[in-house]
Amino acid sequence: MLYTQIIINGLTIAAYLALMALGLTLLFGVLRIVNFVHGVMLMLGGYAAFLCTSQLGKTGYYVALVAAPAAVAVFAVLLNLAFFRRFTGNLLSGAVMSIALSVVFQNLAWMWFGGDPKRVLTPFEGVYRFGGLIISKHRLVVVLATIAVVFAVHWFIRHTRTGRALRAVEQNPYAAQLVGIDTSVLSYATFALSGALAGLAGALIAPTQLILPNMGATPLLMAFVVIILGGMGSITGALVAAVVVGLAQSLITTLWSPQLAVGASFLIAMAILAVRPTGLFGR
Amino acid sequence: MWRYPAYAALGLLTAALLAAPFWLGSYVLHVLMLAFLAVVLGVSYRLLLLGGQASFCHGAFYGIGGYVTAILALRYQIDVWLLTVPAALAAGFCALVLGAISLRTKGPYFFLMTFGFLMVFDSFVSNAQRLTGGYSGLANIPPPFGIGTQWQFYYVILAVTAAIVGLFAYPERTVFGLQIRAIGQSDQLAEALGVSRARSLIAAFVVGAAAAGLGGTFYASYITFVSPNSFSMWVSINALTYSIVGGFDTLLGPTLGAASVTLVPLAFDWSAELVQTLVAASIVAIMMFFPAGLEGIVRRFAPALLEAGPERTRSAGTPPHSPVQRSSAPEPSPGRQPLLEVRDLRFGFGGIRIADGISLEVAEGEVVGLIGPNGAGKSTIFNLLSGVLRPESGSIRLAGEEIAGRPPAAVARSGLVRTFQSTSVFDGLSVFDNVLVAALRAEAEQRPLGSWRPRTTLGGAYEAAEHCLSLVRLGHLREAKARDLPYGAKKMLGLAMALAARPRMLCLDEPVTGLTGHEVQEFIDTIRRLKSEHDITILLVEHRMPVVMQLCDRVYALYSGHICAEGKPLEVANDETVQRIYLGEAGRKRRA
Repeated sequence: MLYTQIIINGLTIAAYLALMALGLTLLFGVLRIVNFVHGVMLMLGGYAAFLCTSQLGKTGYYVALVAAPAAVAVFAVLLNLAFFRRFTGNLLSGAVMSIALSVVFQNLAWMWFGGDPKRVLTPFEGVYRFGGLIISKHRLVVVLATIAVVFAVHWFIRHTRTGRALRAVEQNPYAAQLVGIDTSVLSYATFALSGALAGLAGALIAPTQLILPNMGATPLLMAFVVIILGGMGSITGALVAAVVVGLAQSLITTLWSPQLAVGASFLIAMAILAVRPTGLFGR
Repeated sequence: MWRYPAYAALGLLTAALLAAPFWLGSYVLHVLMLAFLAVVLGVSYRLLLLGGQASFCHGAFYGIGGYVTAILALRYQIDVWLLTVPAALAAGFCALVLGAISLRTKGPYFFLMTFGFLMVFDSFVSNAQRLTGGYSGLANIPPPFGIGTQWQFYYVILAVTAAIVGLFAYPERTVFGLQIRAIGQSDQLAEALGVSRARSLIAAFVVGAAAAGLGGTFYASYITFVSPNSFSMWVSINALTYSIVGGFDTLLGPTLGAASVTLVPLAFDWSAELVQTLVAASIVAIMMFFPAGLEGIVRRFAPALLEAGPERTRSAGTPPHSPVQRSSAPEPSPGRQPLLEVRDLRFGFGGIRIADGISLEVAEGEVVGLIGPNGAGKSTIFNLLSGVLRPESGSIRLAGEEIAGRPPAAVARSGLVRTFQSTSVFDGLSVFDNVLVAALRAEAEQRPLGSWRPRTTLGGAYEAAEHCLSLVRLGHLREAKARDLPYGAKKMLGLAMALAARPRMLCLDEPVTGLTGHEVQEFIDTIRRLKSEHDITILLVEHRMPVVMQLCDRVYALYSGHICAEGKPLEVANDETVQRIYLGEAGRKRRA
């Protein structure tokens, strides 16, 4: 029974992780960018949700589920315009710059939003009980929403013209340019998609925790574990690894200590990388 | 002209620092000591950056040094002087494990793994309550024996800092120092010349980590307290910041960076958060607008400060044109047994067979051509020969020695050196240094200490580099940066580098593609000269048939994974199968 509960909790963690990791791995796969600002984008999604529910009440949360991804997508596009655009093809410098940038944004957020934690209301209150198992309604919504989003992203990448262009750029940016794909436009599209996913993750995670400027830090770290483990740039890898890491985190948190979750997950990822240097699904 | 004022300024600064305890207050002294430790962090971090890699756990190595010192000093009352050794060893060992796991792959994995290592370190020291004291840390760490007051400690840390800066000035003069720069410019090319990428980067990482661990010892002992917070992510960010703010082309960069990042906030009454934000914002701004950092600014306005470095003194000491003729190939061995012997080589990408049982031989002193239509797999065969790809089966023997499956650097060291189809030079190095990388590698491995020898003790390598450069007639451009060369000169430089690596067997991948008619003729003359003077053995992939006709003793024609014709150039050119493949059925009839 305990283990069934651990698995259920693990799957809800996996849902957030998958949303975060999907955006990160897309950016890496298509644009070769390691984006440390991704955690800030999650945090902005959380504050967007707070803004909606504090103005409109519980029903505002439905608005937030649309507004947060949209707002963060715009933020991500601006990020590319102002910063990342200049670091194309310069993976390491881009990564270092993005770390510094995330610090700047996080500190600006402390000044702007202040240090008092905010709460976000959800219309999905209460829990479902099956026998001795407990799952909160909100978490169930998160899992279902994530599954829906993953299928939508999959469909987008497989079956739309833009999606096909994304895959082309992922395989060979230069050749993609030669056949007439505008890689610059595509980089904005990728940032927008990645930002929307982070914003949605922020809005979904918001009711389950306190909203603070550093709320994106731990999810970002866990998302990195996920994409390293899955193989940088691999979408399948990110999804599989999200489930693995989610379950591991749930297990460690329940049986051991929540503080160990991040460190232990990284340790596991490093051990796996020692055997498979490019992750589970990396090339 | 600039040099004397620069030295005078340096002398004044040294005197001021030595006299600091006599004229500065306790607080300023304290900040100066922290700045010295920051210099240790910055300088020890730089080698890895030169190799084109960044880590994110330098603060963790500093922390490992600090914690090892704290635990051993408090539990076993061992003196802090002695603890420098286990502190440095522990940090170096962790770097060795981490590097061995993740520096073998290219791309962002290493960076992210070091990030992960920092998280693991932080999680460990925060939670291993009994060993590290958890979040509350360990207090009352004693000073080293014989050190009691702050001013005594000041001199200790000043001396340690000076020693570490001196230590890291040494690799600048060694073969290793040039190799790590070459790897930072192009690891693929460095490996093709026999420089082992992983080994050099791991060495840089481990040495840097050990020095940071040593610094951590003195930090812990001076502050008398360590906690997870002492070695937070900020220490690692800062180590990186020093080189970004200061630049890292020379040791001056991280030193200036560390000093300014540590000391400038002192002049203002800023909160820690504001300092963090400003530091982070300045990293972003500097990376976007001044990629060379403060060092770049110094170079612009006071170049003499940097010219005193080893780069100049060395090239000034070498004669511009050495008369010494040095054979770049070893003496030919008696008998005409094949130097390169490829047997039944098989390889494919997915379902496409690139090599389906390829066998070929090249005898000592022979020039052999490999021709075939586009996509026949010529370049893939080169990649198999040079170790970039691993064959599925078959054998590649060089002078009887099996080299199939060896990594590229090992293949190059055993004597098979290849050039690349596209131009491939170390952009940021001078033309002479480009060739020197190859020549030094060849020379250093025959001597004790190998790459850790000072470059200037290997005079033979300088002569060889000079000779190879004159062979391709680039002697007059020796001081130019390789990136400024025109296309044709870059290709010739690539040839000179391959020659300087002392090949027993040279594999040239489309050496004249993109060259002008005049340059092609010059290339042909050069190869002929090499052949007559040095009896060099060459395997040549080329599309221009006139070049193949003029240079090759024998030719193999490759088609869909098989050797479809072999023989004298004219025989192969007139071969029925070859003509059908190249010209099609109709073309063949017309020619006939």
